[in-house]
Amino acid sequence: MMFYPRSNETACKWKDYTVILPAVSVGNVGQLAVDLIVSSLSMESVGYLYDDSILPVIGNDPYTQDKYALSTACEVYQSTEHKLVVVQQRSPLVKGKRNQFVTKLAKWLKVSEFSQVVLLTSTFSHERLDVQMIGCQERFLATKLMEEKLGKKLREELKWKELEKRPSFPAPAPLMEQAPSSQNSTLQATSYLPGGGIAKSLLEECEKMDIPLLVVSTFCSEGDNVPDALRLASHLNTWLHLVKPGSAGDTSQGGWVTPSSWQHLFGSTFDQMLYQ
Amino acid sequence: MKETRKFIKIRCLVLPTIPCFVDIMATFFGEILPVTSRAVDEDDDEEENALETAISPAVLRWSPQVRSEIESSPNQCLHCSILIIAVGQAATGFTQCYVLSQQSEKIGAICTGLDDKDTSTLSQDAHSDKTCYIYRLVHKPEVVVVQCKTEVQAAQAFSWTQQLFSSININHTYIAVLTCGSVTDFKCDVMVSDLPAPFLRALKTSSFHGQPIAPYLEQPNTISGLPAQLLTHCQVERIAAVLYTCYTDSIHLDMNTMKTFRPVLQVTPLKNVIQIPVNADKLMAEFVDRNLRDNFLYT
Repeated sequence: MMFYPRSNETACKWKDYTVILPAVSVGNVGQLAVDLIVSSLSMESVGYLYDDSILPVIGNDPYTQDKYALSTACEVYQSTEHKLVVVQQRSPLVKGKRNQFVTKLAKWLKVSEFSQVVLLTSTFSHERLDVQMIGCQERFLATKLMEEKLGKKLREELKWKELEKRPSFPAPAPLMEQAPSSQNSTLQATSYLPGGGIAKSLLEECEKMDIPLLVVSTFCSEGDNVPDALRLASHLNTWLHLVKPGSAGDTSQGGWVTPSSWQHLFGSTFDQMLYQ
Repeated sequence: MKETRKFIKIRCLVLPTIPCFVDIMATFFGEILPVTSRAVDEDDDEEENALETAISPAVLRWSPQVRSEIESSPNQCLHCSILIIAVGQAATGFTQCYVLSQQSEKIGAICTGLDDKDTSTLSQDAHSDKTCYIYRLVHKPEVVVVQCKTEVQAAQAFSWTQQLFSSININHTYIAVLTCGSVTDFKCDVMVSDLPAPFLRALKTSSFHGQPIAPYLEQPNTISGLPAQLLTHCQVERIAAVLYTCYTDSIHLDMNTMKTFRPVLQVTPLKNVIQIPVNADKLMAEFVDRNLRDNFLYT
């Protein structure tokens, strides 16, 4: 089992809880969005996911400067008030061990009895179809169980968009005007998430294991991805209502509290004399 | 504020050998750049379909004497009360001169895989050495030092850690991990040129109740690789451990960097067990000289 609780009192089963986890994806947007959630809700660290498929990294507590706490590569946070568990993954996976990680992660999700699982990810914006280049940049994908539970609410009430499917042969191609099933039978519709990390693999695994998974993705490019993370978190917030927009006193952040560790994202200051 | 470039993606035919399509981007200024991501590798999907990457796991071997000690112990582990793991040139140089200069014996080795073309030397002088040696003090056999002069790949760090900690009784043991990094990687409000390098920073597990001798490593700095794996293992298994990292501005090994670790020997229980040798400076100078010779191309 890959979950290690911090103390013997930590619950290892979370019935009626939602779990949010990030995929290490383009721009690290999922991870940044998870940072926003943990920081804004002041969530408590309750354990770790520890496996040889996760590259190691450690540091001081990224959410506060008031006290010391050791942080690891993959940590589990909990909020009993919001009935929410959040997993933060701070480092990539070991090359060649992604399938192992996905399998073990899915097993842990199943054993923990979460009522719903949300994976935050991102995908390359340069692979967008024409229709995806305007309007809302967020898309969702759901396993059958999640579709039955929430599909109608997401589409009709929240007006979320499902990720457009593309013909898969000979390569993911632009959307055809007619549905693939009415065309050549060799064409199959597929979900295309380039740069999305484990999103597709986890979707397939959760489908096999009957885990209600919702993948929420945003289109982005590499760069300063903080605005992308704020946008993704706010999009999720329209469903989960984790924060009140504007409640943090800074309306430009949409109610989110950015972690103190987000300073020096692009390096330290440098001597201006270098360029004189 | 970081400038965001606008990219226009082009898919083009690339010659000369095998015609294939690659993704490239034309920036606003007309430069042609490949599309890459700092987070994901586009080849990830193909790699998962191939055989699992051939990362050889770490292998630990004990000397015959220690092997029989372990076999006759009640929990099949080597007993020690102090375990120091030094990773990198500066840290291993420090332990070599300050700790192992007292009579010590080699009791084991952890190997992370050799290719046929690699050279392996018992003193870890060759650049291709992939063996970390384990020592203990002859007159104080409860003090064990692991010298990791060679680079252990991050992907091998997990098996390396498992091999070591499954063979040593680390309950009620003082565990210290020593490592070193470049001051240019240290992120803070102060300019790199104004930082008082070399300086020491610390991290500890929740079970370590003492106060480290150095300030805690500030956000958003992180440690990765083998030192991070060692401390992560101790954190998840609720074992007391402390890590000291030295940030240095020297690209070559130097005495000042090694001396930065000296305060570590002034903490309990190390100060009661390890005496600083009177000829420590001379030993360090010889160590630096030996290592500097390897760094010059024409000598």
